[in-house]
Amino acid sequence: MSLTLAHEIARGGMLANATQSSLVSRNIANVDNPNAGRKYAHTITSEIGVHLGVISNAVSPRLLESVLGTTARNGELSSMTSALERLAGSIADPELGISPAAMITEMQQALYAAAADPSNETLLRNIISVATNVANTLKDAGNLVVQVRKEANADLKDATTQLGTLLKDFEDANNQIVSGTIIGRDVTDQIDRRNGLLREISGLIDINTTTRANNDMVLFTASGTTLFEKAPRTISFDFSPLSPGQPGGLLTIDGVPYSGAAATKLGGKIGGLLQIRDDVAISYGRQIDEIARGLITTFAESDQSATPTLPDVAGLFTWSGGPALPTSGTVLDGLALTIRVNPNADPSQGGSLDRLRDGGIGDPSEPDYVYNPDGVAGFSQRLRDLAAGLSAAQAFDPATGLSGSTSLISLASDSAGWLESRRSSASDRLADNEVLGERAVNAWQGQIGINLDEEMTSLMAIERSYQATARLMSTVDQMFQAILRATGAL
Amino acid sequence: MKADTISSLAGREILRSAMARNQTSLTDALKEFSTGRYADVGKALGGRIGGVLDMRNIVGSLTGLTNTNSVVKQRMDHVQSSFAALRDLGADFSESTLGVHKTGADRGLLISDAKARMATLTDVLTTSTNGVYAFSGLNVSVPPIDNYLSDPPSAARAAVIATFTTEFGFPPDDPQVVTITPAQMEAYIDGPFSALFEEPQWSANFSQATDEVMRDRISQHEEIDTSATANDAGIRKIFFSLTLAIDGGAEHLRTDTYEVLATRIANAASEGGHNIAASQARVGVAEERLAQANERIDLEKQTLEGRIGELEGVDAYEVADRLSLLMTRIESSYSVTARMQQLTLLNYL
Repeated sequence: MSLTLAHEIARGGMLANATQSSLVSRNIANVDNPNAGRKYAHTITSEIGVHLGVISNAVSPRLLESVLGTTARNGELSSMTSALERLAGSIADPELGISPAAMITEMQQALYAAAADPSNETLLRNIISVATNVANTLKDAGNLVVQVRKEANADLKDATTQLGTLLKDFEDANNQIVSGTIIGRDVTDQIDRRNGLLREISGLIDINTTTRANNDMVLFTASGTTLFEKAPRTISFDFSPLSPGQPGGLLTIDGVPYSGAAATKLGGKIGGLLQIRDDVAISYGRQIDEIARGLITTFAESDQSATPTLPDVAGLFTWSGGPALPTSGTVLDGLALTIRVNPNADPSQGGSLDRLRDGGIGDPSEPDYVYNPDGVAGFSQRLRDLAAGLSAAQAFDPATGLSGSTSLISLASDSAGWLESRRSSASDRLADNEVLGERAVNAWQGQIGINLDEEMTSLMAIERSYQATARLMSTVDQMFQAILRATGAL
Repeated sequence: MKADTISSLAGREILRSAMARNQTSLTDALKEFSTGRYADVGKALGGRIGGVLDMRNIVGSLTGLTNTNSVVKQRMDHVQSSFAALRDLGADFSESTLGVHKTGADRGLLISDAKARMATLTDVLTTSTNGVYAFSGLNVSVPPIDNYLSDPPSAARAAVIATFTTEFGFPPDDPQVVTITPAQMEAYIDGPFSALFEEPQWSANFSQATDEVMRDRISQHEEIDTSATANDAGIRKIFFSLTLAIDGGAEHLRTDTYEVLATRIANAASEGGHNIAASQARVGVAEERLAQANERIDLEKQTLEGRIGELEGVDAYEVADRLSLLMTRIESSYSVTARMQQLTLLNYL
C-alpha cells in the first residue's frame, strides 16, 4: 500500500463526508415538510476507500397507501358532513321548534285553538300567521336544498379543475422521476413532491397506485378507471344548471361516467359532493316537496253539495299550479318552492278570515265549496277536521325514502330523523376516520420522516469522521514530508 | 426489536391534534354542562330525533288541549250556572204562581212577577262569555233570544198577542177576556198557544239558536258538546209558562178560567225546571269528563316531557366528570408540550 493510495482514500473519505453532511443539512431543512422522506446514502467500502452509493429516500409504500385511503375517506366524509350540517339547519335544535315538523304541529294547535272558539277573530288570524310561517319554512327548506345542491355543483367544478391541475403537476414530477431514475440522478426531492401531490389528489378522489419500472407511477380510481398513465386521462364535467329532483351534469373520467348511482365508487371530496348533489339532497328535497304536497292536499276543499260534481281544489295552502291539486301520491319536484298561503283567506291580501272556518277558500265564487252554508259563527267542524287531517294517514311517494303511508306530521318528523341519522353517522365516521388518518400519517411519517435528534447525531459522527480524515491527511502529509526531507527534496 | 425513529414533525403533530380534539370536546362539554342538554342534539340522537319531534308534537298538542280546555271549561261553567239559575227560576215561579192563586192575592202580582222573571231569563240566556253566546247553539255570534218585553214589542210578544187575538177576537188586555170559558182556555193553551213553542213557529218568533251545539275536542280522541241551545225543551217550557202569565189575559179572566190558567202556568214552570235539571245533569257529566281529560293530559304531558328530557338531556354527573377529566388532560398536555420543546439535542450541543 502506497502513501498515495492512503491519500486517495482520505480524499474519498472527505468527499463522502461532504456528501453526508449535505444530506444531513437537506434532511434538517426538510424537517417540517410533511411529505419529505429521510434521504440517505449507503457507504460502499472497497480496497480503494469509501464512496457513497445512490442517494435514496426512505419509502413505505404500504403505509402511504393507508394514508391515501384515509385521506380519500376524509375528503368524502367531510364534504358530506358539511353539506348535511347545512341541510340540518332546516331542522335545528328541536327545542327551538323551527323544523317543518314543529311548524306543522304549531299549525295543528292553532287550528284546534280556533276550533274551540271559532267566532274569535284573533284565533283565526293566528291560523293565518302560523300558516304563513309554515309555508315560509317549507319554502326556505326547499331553497336550502337548492342552495346546497348548487354549492355542491360549484364545488364539484372547482374540485375537478383542481384535480386536472394536480394531475398535470403529477405528470411533471413523474416524468422527472422516470428520466432521473434512468440516468441515475438524485430524484428524492421529486419523489417527495410526487408523494405530496398523491396526498392532495387522494383528498379529491379515491385512488390506487401502481409503480412500474423506473419508478413510473400509474393512478387508477377505486373502481379501476385509469386516471393517470404517463399522462393524465381526460376528466370532463358538465357544469350545467340543476333542476329540482334531477341529477346534475355528468362527470366522466377517461370516458367512464361517474355521476348518479356510480358516485359511491368514486370516493374523495368529489365522490362526497356527487353523493350530496345527486342523492342525499335530492331525497331530502323530495321529502320537503312531499310535506308541501301533503299540506296542500290536507287543506284541499271538496264539493259539499248533495251530489258533488266539482273537483277538489287547493284551500288554505296553494301553489303555482293552484287552485288545482297536485297529483296525489306522487312527488312533484320543486313544489315546496312555490307553496304559499291562499290570498283568499288572508285579510292582508284582500281575503276573508271567515273562509278559514266556513271553507270556500279555493274558489270563493263557487258556494258549493262552503262547508258552513248558514255561516253560523260557532261552526268548528271544518277546523277540527283540518287539524285532525294533519294526523291522519295519507299516501306519500316512496321515492322520498320514507314510509309511503303515514300522517303528515309523522312524515315531517321521519324526514328530520332521516336527515339527522345521516348527519350523525357521517360525522361519527368522520371523527373516527380523522383519528385513523392521523394514525396513518403518523405511522407513515414515523417510517420515512426525519428526526432532528438523529440528524444531529449523524452530524456529530460526520464531524468526528471529518476530524479523523483530516488527521489522516495531515499524517500522510507529514510522512510525505519526512520522505521528501530524507531524500533531500526539501 | 426494530426501533423506528419517530419523525420530529409527527411527534409534534400528535400533541397538536390531541390538544385540538380535547379542546373541541371541552367546548361541547361546557355547553352540555350549562344547558343540561346535548351540545348538538340532532347529531347525538341521529335517527331518534324523529321520535323526539313526534313526542314534542304530542306535548304541543296536549298543551294546546290544556289551553282550549280552559276556554271550554269557562263556557261550560257558564252553561252550568245558567242552567242552575233557570232551574231555580222554573221551580220558584211555579211555587209563587200557586201561592198567588191560592191566597187569592192580586193577579197583577202574578204578572209583575212573571215580567221580572222574564227579564232574568233574558239576562241569563243573552250573557256572552268571550264574545260567545253559550245558548245560541252554533250561532254563537248572535244572542239566542230577543228581549220579550222590549218596547216596541218583540216579534215573539207580537206573535203571542196575535195568536190570542186570532183565537178569541180580542187582545189579552181587553176587558172582554172575562167571557172566556175554562174549556175555551184549555183549547187555546193546548192548541194555538202550544204550537207557538213548537217548530217552525218557535224559531221564527223566539229563538235564533240552532239545535246543534258546539262540539269540542277535549283530549286526543274525545269530543263533547260544550255549549247549549235555547231550543232546549226546558227553556221552551219556562218561556211557555212566563208568556202565558204575561200575555194570557190573567188580569180580567173569570175565576174558574183563571184557575185553569194559573194551574197550567205553575205546571209548565215546574216541568220546565225538571227538564232543565236533566240538561244540567248532561252538562255535569260532560264537565266531569272534561276534568278527567285534563288530569289525563297533565299526566301524559309529564311522562312525555320526562322522556324528552331523558333523550335530549345529559347526565350532569357524567358531564361534570368528563369536564374535569378533559381539563386534567389538557393541562397535562400543555406541560408535556412545554417539556417536549426542551427535549432536543440542539440544547445540548
